[in-house]
Amino acid sequence: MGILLTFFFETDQDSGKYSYYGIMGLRHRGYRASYAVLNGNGIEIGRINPWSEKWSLPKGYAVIAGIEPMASLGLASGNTKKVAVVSEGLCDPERVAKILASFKKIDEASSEVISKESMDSCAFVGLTSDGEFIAYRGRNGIRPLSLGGYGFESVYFATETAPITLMGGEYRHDLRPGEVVYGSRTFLESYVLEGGKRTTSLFEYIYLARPDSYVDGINVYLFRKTMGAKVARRHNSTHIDVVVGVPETALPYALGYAEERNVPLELAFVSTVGRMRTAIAPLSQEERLMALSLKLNPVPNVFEGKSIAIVDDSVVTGLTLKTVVHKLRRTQAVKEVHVIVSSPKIINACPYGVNNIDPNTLIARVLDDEKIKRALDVDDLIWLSLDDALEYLRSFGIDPCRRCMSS
Amino acid sequence: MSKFRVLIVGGGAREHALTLLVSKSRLEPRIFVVSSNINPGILRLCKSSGGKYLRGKPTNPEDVLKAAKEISPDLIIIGPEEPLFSRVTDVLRNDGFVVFGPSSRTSLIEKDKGFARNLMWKYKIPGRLRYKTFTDPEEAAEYAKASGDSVVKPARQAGGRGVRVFGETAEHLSRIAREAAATYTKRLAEMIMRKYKDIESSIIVEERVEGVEYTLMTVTDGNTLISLPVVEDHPHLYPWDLGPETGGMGSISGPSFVLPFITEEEFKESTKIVKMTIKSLLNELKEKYVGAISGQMMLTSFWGPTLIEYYARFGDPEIGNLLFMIKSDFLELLDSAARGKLSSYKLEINDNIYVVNKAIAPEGYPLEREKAKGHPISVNEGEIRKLGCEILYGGVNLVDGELLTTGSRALEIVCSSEKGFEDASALAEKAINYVSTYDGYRLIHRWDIGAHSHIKIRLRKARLARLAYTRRRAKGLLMVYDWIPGKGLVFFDYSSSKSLSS
Ligand SMILES: Nc1ncnc2c1ncn2[C@@H]1O[C@H](COP(=O)(O)OP(=O)(O)O)[C@@H](O)[C@H]1O
Ligand SMILES: [Mg+2]
Repeated sequence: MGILLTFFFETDQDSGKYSYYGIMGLRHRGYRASYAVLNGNGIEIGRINPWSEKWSLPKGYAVIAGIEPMASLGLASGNTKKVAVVSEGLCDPERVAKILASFKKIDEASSEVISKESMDSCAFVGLTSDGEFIAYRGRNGIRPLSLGGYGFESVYFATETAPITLMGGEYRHDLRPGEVVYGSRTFLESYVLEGGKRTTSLFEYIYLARPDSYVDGINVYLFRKTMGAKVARRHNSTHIDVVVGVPETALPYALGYAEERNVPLELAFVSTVGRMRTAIAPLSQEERLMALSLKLNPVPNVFEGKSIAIVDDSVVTGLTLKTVVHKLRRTQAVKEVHVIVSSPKIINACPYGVNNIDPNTLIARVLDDEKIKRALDVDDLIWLSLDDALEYLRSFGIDPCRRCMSS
Repeated sequence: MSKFRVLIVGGGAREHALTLLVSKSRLEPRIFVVSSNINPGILRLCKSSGGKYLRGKPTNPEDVLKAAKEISPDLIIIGPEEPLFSRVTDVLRNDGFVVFGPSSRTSLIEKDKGFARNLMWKYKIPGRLRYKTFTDPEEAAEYAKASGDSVVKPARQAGGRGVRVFGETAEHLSRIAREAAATYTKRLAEMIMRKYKDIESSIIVEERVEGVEYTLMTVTDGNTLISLPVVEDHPHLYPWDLGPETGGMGSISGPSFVLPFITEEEFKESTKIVKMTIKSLLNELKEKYVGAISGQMMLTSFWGPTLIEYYARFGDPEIGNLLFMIKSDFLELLDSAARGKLSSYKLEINDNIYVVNKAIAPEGYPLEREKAKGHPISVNEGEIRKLGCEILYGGVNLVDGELLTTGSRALEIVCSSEKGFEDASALAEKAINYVSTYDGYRLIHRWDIGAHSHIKIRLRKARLARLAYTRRRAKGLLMVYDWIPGKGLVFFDYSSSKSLSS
């Protein structure tokens, strides 16, 4: 998941060069991206691996892209035009493209598309060979979409704001649930459908987004630090010598936790494979273990005889945590290990396709806390209370989607 | 019937606003206008005041002189900038007419952006930016590529078109931005040289700054200078400050001389900048500046009030806001300025009023103007007036009883409220519903001008700029230092009187 749209108003500008950085700003979400580029010849589509060494986009003044497999690209031809759509959530990009291509005017086409209830849990961006763009955030608001501008040059849309700033843009607005924005180099219109709910994916804040982003107006870094502090407040009776965060995503949580408890934070692991996101990399079980091991080489002799709190952002399969604990126990002779999970238990697959996890691999679904503790060989296991996360996000007007966390 | 005759040159929205402002005078003037298009709003005011609407090219000195001789006006007001550049003021004054508007030489302050910047450096006027001007397209392109993070503009005033900002908000974009800047600079330079033969340089490349923009319009007789309330224009075509550059899609002002995001002190400093400018012009050209002079300003983190460009006239759409703000006699203001008697004039404004002005343009403005031309417009004036709003006609022409778009911003709707911008903006939105095209062609405007979300962003940006420039001032910094490994410590001294001394 994660989608992007860039549209330059001067057709000689090369959007592809800017969009390169936009896609780099989304690649923490996955290992394949599909794109469509609009230029004088029409629409060109393709697929790249943003983690690979050398890749680039064709020349063009507008680009849409999405991180596969949860976001995908669809293409359709009507009588007068071609349309490309990248969507995520519960909708079919090809169907959307087909409807858009069957109308002459984009305002009529868009109202036809978005009035369908089946689009409520979807977000999409699209380009037409007429030189028009469209972006929509479904009425449920599950999938966020923000907008920004780069001088007099271009308009940018993205799931989170880091891609916008990486492309030189300034973040300006979060699409409201049910809001559609469409335009061209000569007009831009927007409106909001009634009945919108801001049930933005909680998983975006917990894990998916970059900490240097805003998602639907929430500062992701501050969210994570605050959640770290909130768990700490509920876990303040046990003695802890030192706090450790599991790289990379959990570091802001660990910081918040350590600050709140006034305990030092130590770096415990060094990666050999950069900032690879092992949880979503397309790897076999064995490869994933290898990758994890390379990502988490322990710093020697820092934790001997100590009671440590290991903070992780979320526990999905439990594989990462297992590796972390195992490495620390084996190399450092730690005294006690307290695991702090800065998310509520994830017990269901996401019905909206935000993640595509096999429910039977979800450790918190299959095992109860006592068994998990035994399996991971830890002394304590604390979860962020869902209420803590809800309280925070509700204070900003978001009642997040937590379908993967509730039974 | 009144004896006072005023002749206004020009037939756009600015001149319509001028006509309205002047018509409220206690002198009850007869209003005459010379223009090449027929502006229905101005036409009506001419008729009702016992004046006349004359056809003629505002930029052609002969046309205007002929009109003036026919009418024998007590005062001539020049609206747009182009007549100033083409010596209309000079010719009229030469013939003994009393004219509100600067001479062609003093109007260089707007026409020639290089001249204006040079004046600022030479006389150390605060709010100056680094710049360099070019004649040769290749040379300009080369410089734009080498300098980076720059703004490329036509060196000559080109009616609010041609400016592109090549921001390097992040270092990793610098190569892309510089290449784009170079390509564009070359193309623009060639275009400007083809189009304008009355200026030496084609291009000005400037350092890029960031901040909140506002316009300070003033009136001067060459000695005294009177500042009008600060107005904020909106150059982007689309809401959320997105889209290509336009001549201005609307403006806000109030609740008094300053906007919520500009302080009294910043207003005073901006006034000082304009005052220093007319003094320096006198020094440089040995000529008094008479007329309107406006500073298009930006509150930046380096200088605080910073000059982006001068207008040798009132801003459009900015002047529309004055309709609801000026309490004292506007005709007398312009007349006293034209006669060198401004010191006795007392400007009064409505405190506590919020004014929102929104421009309406046919789709195609400004990038595809051909498309935007010739669409018949319908304006339900009665309903708009019921809302208490004013209508200013701009890029329209009355042809055989039909109001046709000319390709530019067609009209402006100005509304006011004592409750706040949000309220005035909502009124304007209602009023805009009464404007449409008979052929169903799309009209565009910005709903967000005056919206709360919009003001909030301005407040935040202004606060950040203020924190930075006050810190800089407290330290007395007028130098910018940079460490370039291998080259050493380089600096740029803003207190020197040369722009490119680093
Ligand atoms: N030095 C600058 N730094 C940043 N933005 C600028 C600069 N100069 C101009 N701009 C932007 O470009 C717009 C147009 O530039 P301006 O000099 O006013 O030319 P124009 O004659 O087209 O109005 C300004 O309103 C401002 O938004
Ligand atoms: Mg300007």
